[in-house]
Amino acid sequence: MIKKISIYILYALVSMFFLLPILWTISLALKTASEIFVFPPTFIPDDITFDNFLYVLNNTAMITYLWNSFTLVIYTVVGTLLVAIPAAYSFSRFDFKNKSLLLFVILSFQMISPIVIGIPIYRYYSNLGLLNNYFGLAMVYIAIQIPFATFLIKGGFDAIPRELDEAAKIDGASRIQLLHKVILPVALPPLASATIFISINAWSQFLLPYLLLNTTSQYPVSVGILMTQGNFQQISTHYLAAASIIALLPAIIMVFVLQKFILRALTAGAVKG
Amino acid sequence: MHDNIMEKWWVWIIPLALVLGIFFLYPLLNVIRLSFSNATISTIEEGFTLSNYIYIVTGSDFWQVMKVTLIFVFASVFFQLTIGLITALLMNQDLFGSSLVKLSMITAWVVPGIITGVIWSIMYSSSSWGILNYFLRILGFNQVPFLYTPSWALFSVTLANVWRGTGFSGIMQYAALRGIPEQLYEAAAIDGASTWQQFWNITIPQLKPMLMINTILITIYTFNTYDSIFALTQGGPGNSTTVLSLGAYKQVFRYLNLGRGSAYAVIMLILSGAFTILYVNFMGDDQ
Repeated sequence: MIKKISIYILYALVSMFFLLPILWTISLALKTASEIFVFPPTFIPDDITFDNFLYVLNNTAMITYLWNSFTLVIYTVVGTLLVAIPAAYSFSRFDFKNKSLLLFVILSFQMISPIVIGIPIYRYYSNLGLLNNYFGLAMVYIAIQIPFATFLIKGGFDAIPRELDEAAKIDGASRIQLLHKVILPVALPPLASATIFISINAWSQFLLPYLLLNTTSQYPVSVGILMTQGNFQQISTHYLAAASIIALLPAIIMVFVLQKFILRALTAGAVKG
Repeated sequence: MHDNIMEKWWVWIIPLALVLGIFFLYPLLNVIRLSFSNATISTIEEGFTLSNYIYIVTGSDFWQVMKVTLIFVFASVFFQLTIGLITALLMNQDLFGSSLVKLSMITAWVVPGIITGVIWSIMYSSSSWGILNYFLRILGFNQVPFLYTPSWALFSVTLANVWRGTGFSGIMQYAALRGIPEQLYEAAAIDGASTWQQFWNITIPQLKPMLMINTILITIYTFNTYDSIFALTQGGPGNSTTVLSLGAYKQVFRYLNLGRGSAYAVIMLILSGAFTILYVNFMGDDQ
């Protein structure tokens, strides 16, 4: 019994550690301008207001930022899957020399920080006139996501028995038909995991858009919130808090809706290593 | 004819090779070349020189940055692993409420780095909304200048990073715990092993492969982190929270010194390369 109670206390402590920063931000976002200066601070606002959210939505480009992030995520997911699926198919269904070496080489790109490639890319994009261009930016996002996505999807394809392919082959199916009609329909869970991973990473990207875009109307939410922080600092934390919550909302909704898939995505990547 | 060519393994990899080649490998080679030049952001580089590396290695800035990076990475990894392990063990108790723990960890993990920085800068504030200082005050401590003295700033950016990164580590270890066969514990219990003995003789050895992989992965992720630091302190005060990646950024985009920034980037590349080799070796042993 004592053991149970102490575990519950620890559950509460751990959950608090992870949730407090977000809950506190929500609390600030719901307060009036005068209440955020009250000391000692109130956890549940005396006077709950949604004005901060309205102010942020009306007076900053937050909606545009969200929309831009959303667009970039879609480009990245589609582009990455288009490239990673055939590559994963090759690694899963063909046998060739040095296959695992090649896979490791591809995967090792994953370990490189975007700043390393961001520096030269900034330079030749400015020469090519590709700064402020979503195509150019999305291509870099895609390149960054490909290694891990390929690896994750290959793992998913490997779990599909080759007998399925053989049966379809006897029926005269081509490789493309095989992939399209036999493998992809049963590979939906790993594809979903890959999509979630790609989306979370693309949504979080900061340095590349910060370097490669310089018009406010094109910023994704990560860059936009930094600009908002600069504008609001010190005088209006309640607005900054509201902006943060708006920026976080899509990710949080995703966690609540797709919790099981996210858990699986995390552990699939890890366990198959 | 069409079918024949689709029977070649490499045909399927062409898109990947093109994208990685143009947007990853080519820039990578370029950054190495730039690091041996005296290019600035606006001039065309000329000649081959080692001066960037000599400048970096003989100056004090770089070693300060290395020191900050080491402390940041080591402390982040240590706490992400231990807090991750503790929460994984707790979740594995599977009592009512364990799903709240899981949910809260994943929530923190999906918060983008920049927003992590913004949220924690509110938490760390010394104004009325800085809740951490309020807690300290209740407990009878003085106010802490979380972001304004060099050592506190390094502590604060590390804590924010641990907050964000622990979810990943915890969930991976939880998955590994789930994979330990129940029979091992049953057999040990029959032999009269205490809970503590079971933990040291079954849980830890069984978790070891995952702990190793996890350590290397979080090391690499932490090593590449800059966005939460960027939003919290911009690397300051002074250079006290400038990690390698921020150092590279500052050289290029603040001091407009492309060559030196590229040299920083190459040093990062070498270090991540070393971690990767470690990772590959470890995976190789495992199979």
